[in-house]
Amino acid sequence: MNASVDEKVGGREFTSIFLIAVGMKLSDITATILFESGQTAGWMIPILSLCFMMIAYAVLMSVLKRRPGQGLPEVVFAIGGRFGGSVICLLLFFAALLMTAVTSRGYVDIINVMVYQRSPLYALYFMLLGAAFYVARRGFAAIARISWVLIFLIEGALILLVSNMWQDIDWYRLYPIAGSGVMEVARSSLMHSAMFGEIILATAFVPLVNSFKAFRIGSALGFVVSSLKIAILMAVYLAVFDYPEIIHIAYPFQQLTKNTSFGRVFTHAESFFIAFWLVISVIYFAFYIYLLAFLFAHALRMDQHRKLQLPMAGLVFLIGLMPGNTEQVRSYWESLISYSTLLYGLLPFVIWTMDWIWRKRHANP
Amino acid sequence: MRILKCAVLLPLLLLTGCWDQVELEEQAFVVVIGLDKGPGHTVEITFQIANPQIGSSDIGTAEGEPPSDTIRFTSSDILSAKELANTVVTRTINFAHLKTMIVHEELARSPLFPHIAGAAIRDPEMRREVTMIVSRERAYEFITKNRPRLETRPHKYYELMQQRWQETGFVPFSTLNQYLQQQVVDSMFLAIYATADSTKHRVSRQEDDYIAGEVPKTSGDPVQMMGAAVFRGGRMIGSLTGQQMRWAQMLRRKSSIDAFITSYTDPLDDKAMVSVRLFRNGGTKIRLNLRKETPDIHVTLPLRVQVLSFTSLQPYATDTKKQQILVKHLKEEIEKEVLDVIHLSQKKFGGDLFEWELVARKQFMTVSAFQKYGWSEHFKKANVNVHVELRIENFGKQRTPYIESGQKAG
Amino acid sequence: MTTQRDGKTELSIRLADNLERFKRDFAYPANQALVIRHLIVGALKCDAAVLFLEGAADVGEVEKRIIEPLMEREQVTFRNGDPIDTVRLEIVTHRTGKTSGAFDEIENSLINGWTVVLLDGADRALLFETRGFESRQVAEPIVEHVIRGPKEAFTESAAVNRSLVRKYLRDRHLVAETFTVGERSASDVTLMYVKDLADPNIVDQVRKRIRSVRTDAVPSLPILEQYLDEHPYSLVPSSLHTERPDRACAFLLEGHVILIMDNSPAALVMPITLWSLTHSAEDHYMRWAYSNFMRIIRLLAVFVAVLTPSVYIAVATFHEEMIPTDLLLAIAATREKVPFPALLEVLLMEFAFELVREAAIRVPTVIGPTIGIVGALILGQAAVEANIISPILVVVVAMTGISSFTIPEPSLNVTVRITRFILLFTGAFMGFFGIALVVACMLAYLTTYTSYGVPFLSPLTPHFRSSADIILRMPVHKERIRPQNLNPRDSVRRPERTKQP
Repeated sequence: MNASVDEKVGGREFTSIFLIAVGMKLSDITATILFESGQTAGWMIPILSLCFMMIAYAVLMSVLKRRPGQGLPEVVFAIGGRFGGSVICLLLFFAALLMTAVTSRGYVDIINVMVYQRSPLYALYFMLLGAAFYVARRGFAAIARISWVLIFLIEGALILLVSNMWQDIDWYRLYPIAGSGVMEVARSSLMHSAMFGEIILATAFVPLVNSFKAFRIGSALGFVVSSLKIAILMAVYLAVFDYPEIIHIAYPFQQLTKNTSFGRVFTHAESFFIAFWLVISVIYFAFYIYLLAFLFAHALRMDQHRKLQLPMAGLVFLIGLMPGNTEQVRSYWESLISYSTLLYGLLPFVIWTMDWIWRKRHANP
Repeated sequence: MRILKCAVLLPLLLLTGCWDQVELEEQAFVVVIGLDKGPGHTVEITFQIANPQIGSSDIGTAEGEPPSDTIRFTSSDILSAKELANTVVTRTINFAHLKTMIVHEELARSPLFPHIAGAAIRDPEMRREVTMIVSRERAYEFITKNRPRLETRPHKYYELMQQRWQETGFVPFSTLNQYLQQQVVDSMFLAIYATADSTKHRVSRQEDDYIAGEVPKTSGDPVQMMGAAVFRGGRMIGSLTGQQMRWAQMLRRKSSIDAFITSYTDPLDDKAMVSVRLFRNGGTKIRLNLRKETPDIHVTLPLRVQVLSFTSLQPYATDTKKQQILVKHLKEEIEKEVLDVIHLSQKKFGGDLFEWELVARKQFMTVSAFQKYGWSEHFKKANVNVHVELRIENFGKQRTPYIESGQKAG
Repeated sequence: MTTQRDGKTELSIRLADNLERFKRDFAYPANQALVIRHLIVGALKCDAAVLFLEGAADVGEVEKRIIEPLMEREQVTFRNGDPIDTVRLEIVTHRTGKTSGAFDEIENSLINGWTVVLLDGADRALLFETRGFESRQVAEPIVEHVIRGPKEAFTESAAVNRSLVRKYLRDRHLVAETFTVGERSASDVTLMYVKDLADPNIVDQVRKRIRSVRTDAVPSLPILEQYLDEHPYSLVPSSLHTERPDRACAFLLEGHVILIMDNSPAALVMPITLWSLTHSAEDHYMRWAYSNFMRIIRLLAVFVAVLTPSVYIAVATFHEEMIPTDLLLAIAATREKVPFPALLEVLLMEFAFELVREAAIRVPTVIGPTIGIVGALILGQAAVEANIISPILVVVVAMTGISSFTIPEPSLNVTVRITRFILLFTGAFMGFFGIALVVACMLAYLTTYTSYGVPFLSPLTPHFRSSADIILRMPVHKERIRPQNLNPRDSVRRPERTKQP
């Protein structure tokens, strides 16, 4: 058991992590918020947001390319010294921590509202984080391998869902095509680009992947395909529910699954999709708990990041319970996304500048 | 020691933690819900609860129990009625298998109705695909009178009727989802129109020219579903006959029916009727010219036709000239009927019954531009012309009418 | 270790002293097991004694190959000066022969069925391998049946087993190393592998583990398996027992190693993956379409066996909207008369089924068939009529039970049964939420479980190149590569090698 925890992860598994983890955003509160600002063009926002984020990603990769085998924490410590490195890692850590707390709270809300109305929130939350903690404890390899095992099943389930809803889809509902206006859509994309902020955080895991090329291809491919997936599914939501109604629906993905039926016999198939969704969300939060422990350990220059996983899970639990109700969760998510966008957008440029200074200083023979 | 601790915790988990767990036989499954107007700002809600022990296998059958239980409460909304029901019903009320909602016409016309429907949808148990039926008399009476002789279980009736609706097109396919959707856009919602009170017979030569209650039948089950109730902004404003309903469906870009049987007067014999099965031969094409203040709308309806019966016994199948007369006549009749429906929508209801606003949306760049344009206002004034492309596919399995060949022989 | 208190470990020159020692150690003459045959070696004109243990040595061999030559050989001039060497190299016609001077070694070999020849005046003894323990004939396999394919199974004799393996796999690189385990009762363990295929790391690991076993006796292979187990508390096995030599050889050809011991009609294969446990021998004996069909059915059966009771409970108590209305009303109708809550009903039925299953294994074969009739008919039918359980539950439990019988490997079978109970409790506790969480945790556990360094779910994940034989199989000519997860030294199966299952 212990040997495989430290094994490096292959390209296939690494890509599947992001296909699953980032693709999850199509099933939470993201969709409704994007439709509120983009109206009938809301489905285009994920693609544009990824484009913005890719610029920052490319900048960061140009710094990392020079130091193969080293992940983001090692690089910032090398070029920023102890102080710079700690500050950056802590900033990223806090952004990731708050994001995880708010997102996980959002997911538990979904379960509470749509499926288990009478179960208390803290119990559902505790169980979900408990399972995620166990998976994280088994190591990064566990997360990666489960993703690879499940990826085809999950994409198949999504295709099944969309094909089931095909008769209710009316593509004309996507018109007017520019929604709230081109400028507004572009502005919204820029402000929400932190939804793909994991691409910056993922660079911390470079040492855990087989090769740098596998990392590059895996992360880029994973994010691009995921953003396409999110955009397509959002277009499907719009085509099924139509514009003003969609912002009144709290959870469009779960609502879509409520409308599916397998033939005339199994009419309410949403519990089937909920089961898939739950398994993926465990993987998603396991990834985050692992990441949080990893970043924090590097920020404080500790070696034992695995021991920090339990406290991280606990911290997420406590912060996640703080918002009072689901609408507050949404508003926290919105403000968090805006601030995180600044962080993820500017940080690569800062790092690039620091690297440039470092190279100049160390270039003299 | 660790094992001991786990062994102690495990049974505790079984005893606690089952917050959402309810045993199957302790639940009462409501299959039909009825809404009537109550005094003041309340509604009277009728629940029809299925009795599982009727219609099941021998092991589960209980003698002497009715197939369903119908109870009625007065309350301010559906969910509080659900709680009230538990004062009378021994089991937990569960909406998981609720498939049909019957609304009294009076309540549908009142301003209270959109509030009731909008409030009820928050409960996750209340599903958006619940079928909505508007009844001419009180929903309670409709539900109690609806005891189909060939179906034991109440939900079966609605389940099977759903298939029939899709075949005939006499009524629209209306769900709560569509109702809520079309409340906020600029078109109108059509709901199934039904009644259990069939005393207002009248007879028309066209079999679809009735509204619920007018179908001339005697005996059989009391419920009739025919025609549609038209809603605007969440309130009912009028009704359509079965025939008008069918054309409204056909004029939509995506309709839930593709074929139906209807009849027209025979061009060569006033006393006879021609029955045809109409198929849509491709999509209905709608072209809008919105540049002028009075928009122009061109509708092309491609149809193909199977001639099923004509009581005039004219040799339409063999004589091409008579065929052409038939085709021309059918075309004219259909265009007239379609234009009638469109004018009805424009003049009487003042809005778009056919979801053409989706086509209009294509011509605008942003949502606010479209909303500023105000589709319904422009639609009311539009010039519409309809072009029907008709093609007769076949004449059934009889080539020449019976009498004709008999005369020749004799 | 000396059995004698005087501390002597070496033989003495005097025959009588040695014999005394042996008689004392083996409690002769109270213990009838030791047989001592005094004789005079004609050719050398000296006293000798032949010792063997009754029941352990093959008497025929002893008489024909050892005693007869000793007594009947004519006196000639021998090339060897030392009488021991003379006897060994020129007189005795037995196929083996070695010398030893230590009491412990001689006594150990006596216990293992060897024959000892003592000569007066020599301080070493001669040992000849004349094992003759009784064992069964090669018979049909009891657990792993196939319709097509060989029907030979291992027996309790390690020599016979080794010969069977050699028969199926005639490769000069097939190596058989022997170790002894157990201090009081030493047993031989044979480690067999193909030298130019198996990963040396795996072989080293197995060797190290065998050598580190410290106990007084390891009578048979299942017990050795437990000593060698890396994860003794885990529900998932890390090695596999097979009673079929053809299957053992197929594993050898992929790069696994096997262990063979006396008293065990099986070979222990390691390392293993989940796919080794779920593939049956028959899969490769049938044509492509037939075997894939059976594999799909077996895969579905695994899911049914693990998930059905928990899904039933979850749907019936938490997610009633999933059941079609007619079925729901039917279930509710039959459940109205049943006094127990759904979970208790399921537990009762499952428990009854497990009882029937255990009983069917333990019952004497004479009244065996009646268990099926009693269990199925009376328990099921009568319980339904007495309104103790609802009829749909009989269907659920029966389906589950029958599906679990399709799993070819007994240890995986029990794993599935236990997992089913775990999922049943989580399903009753939290419905699909509980089931989904536990499934995620189980997946995490399985993907990081290793058996001797090989990840349990490889080559599916982590991904390795393999012979297209993980869940469904390709026709034989497409199986060109050996699964890389075992890190074999030779990756490509050459075309002229016949593929074994």
